[in-house]
Amino acid sequence: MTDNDDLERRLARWFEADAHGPAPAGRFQQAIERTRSRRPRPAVLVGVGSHWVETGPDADVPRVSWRSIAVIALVALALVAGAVYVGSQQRTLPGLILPIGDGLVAYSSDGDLFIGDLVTSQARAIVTGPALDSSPKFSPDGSRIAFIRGDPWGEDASIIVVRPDGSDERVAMPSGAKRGIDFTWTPDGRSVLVNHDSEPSRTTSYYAGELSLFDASGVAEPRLLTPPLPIGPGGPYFRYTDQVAPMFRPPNGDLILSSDFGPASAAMTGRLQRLYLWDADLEDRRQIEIEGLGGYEPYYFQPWALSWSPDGSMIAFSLGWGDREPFEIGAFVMRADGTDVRRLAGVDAWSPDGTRIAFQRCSRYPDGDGSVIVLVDVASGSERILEATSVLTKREGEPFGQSEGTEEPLCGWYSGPDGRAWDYEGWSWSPDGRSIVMLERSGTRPMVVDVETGQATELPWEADSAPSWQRISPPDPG
Amino acid sequence: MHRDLILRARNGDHDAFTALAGDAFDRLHRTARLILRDDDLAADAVQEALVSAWIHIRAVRDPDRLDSWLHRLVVRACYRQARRSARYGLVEIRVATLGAATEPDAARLTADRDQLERGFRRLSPEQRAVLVVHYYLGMTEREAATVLDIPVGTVKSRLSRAGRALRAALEADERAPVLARESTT
Repeated sequence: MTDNDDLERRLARWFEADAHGPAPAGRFQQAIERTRSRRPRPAVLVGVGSHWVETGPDADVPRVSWRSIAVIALVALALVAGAVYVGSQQRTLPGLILPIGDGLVAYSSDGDLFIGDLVTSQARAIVTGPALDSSPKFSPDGSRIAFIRGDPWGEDASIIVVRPDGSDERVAMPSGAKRGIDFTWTPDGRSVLVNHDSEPSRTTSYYAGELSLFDASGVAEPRLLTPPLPIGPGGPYFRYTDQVAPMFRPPNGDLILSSDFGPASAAMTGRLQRLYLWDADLEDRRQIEIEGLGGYEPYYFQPWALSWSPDGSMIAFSLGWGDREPFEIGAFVMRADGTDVRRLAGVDAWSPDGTRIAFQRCSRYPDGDGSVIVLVDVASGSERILEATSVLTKREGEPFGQSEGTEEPLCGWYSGPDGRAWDYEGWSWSPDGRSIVMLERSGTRPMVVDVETGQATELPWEADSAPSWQRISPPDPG
Repeated sequence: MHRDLILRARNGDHDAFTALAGDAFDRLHRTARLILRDDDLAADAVQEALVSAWIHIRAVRDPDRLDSWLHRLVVRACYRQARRSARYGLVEIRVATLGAATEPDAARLTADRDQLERGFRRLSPEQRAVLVVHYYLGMTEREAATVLDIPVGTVKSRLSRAGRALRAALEADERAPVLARESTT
């Protein structure tokens, strides 16, 4: 008997024993209730995400004739040709740390794209149709929106760029080019940098990820940036499975932040242990030598919490540390060169001027669990709780979950009978720094919070992506 | 009957879809639970998959392949849930499903399961999924390729890598590993 046979037998036995037991009570009904509010997509072009389904003998799906396709293609060609003349000039806006105006908010819902106005709470669809569109992100100058069409994990994923009214649709990344994608705009707004799966070209036991540059207008040839980077013993530097967009240093994108698993001896843990700064064309890198983390070893970085300060001088990160679970977890900021490391209470989102960081804190109260939004002053570490954010607070019903072996409540771990998890993600400060918009993690309603008054308002929109805020030029003083 | 339900669901009959989903729910949840190692995350993943299934129900042209399609949606939802749980640093609280290990064999079995659990948790969601689909659902490499939406060759290589990684994790576990300290270059 080989080791392989033995492991396979152990696995099969363990799976069989571990799979027994009912699903949590009520979850089926909850799932069905969620479907009840949706409607099936039309059959004609519903192939998105289901291209593998073979046509059966009883198929009665309406067919699109070649003639129709040809007409559509000609019309599309004419539209694209006409769109070539539409302004491609890039406006240069002030850097992130300077005052800038709030524009609209882009989000996706049920496969379509919408634009919302937070002043009026009005929203309208800008890209509709049977295709599954998601993850809209405004360009740095606010003039265009890039989004993913199709399943980001599927072969059919593409990246499309439109103007904020949905016009001038261009294919930045064609369908079938990459899979397992996330993307970010380059700081000059001319390209989208895509973090994608590199399979099957790589041979590594771990996630492989690569970066490719795609012209936002769809004209220039795409460029694969990562090869010939060595995939060292610490694993790849850009893991597509993290689905974290590459992190350009603001305001000009001269550096890209990444991480890896660390030395080969630690690679098996799958935890990120080193941070790197790359030049923008990925030809050179250097590891950030972090000073002052001696009291937290052995540690690992949590990829979701890595972020640049708006002026590019600092990096916020979250660490887990300890020899075994449950690991301690803490938030930190440091200068980009790894010096001046300071611990903060949390690091969800930098304010546009870089002076504050907002985060959500869960607490245990006598009558239940609740959460509040906290603003941390980066320089002093002092905290201000937005007292009026009680709409976020959950004081009744099922408690939040907690970390194993601790009494620390975890935001939103368990959802209540109504399906709400009372937890928010996709944090985005308004460009003018006066409010924050976020999305309920397990729900569909974005929330906007006034950072001065703490007033939280649930928006009457159905969203399934993090809202993206448009930056617009300040009014002409003349 | 099954075929009839699918056709009715494709025509927008929500009750028919509910019947189909009810039939598959426990099976899908077991798969998700094995991948995610958590009941509630698994239920979230299945819920997400069912919502997607309802939205795209009209894409189902071959009723005999509904189960494969649902599993495919669940696996993808598991990937997303795994990322979200990493985002929130969540740790599952598991309750042993067996009684106390009073006999030597039971104790050995429990220890073996604990070790597998620790090793399995170190794998990526993709590696967990390929092991679950192949060794729990009993799918062939070709069937697994369909459910995982990857080429057959990738299934083979991913199975091989996952096996190697799991074996290495189990060996590392036996050596009571300590995370390497940060070293700079």
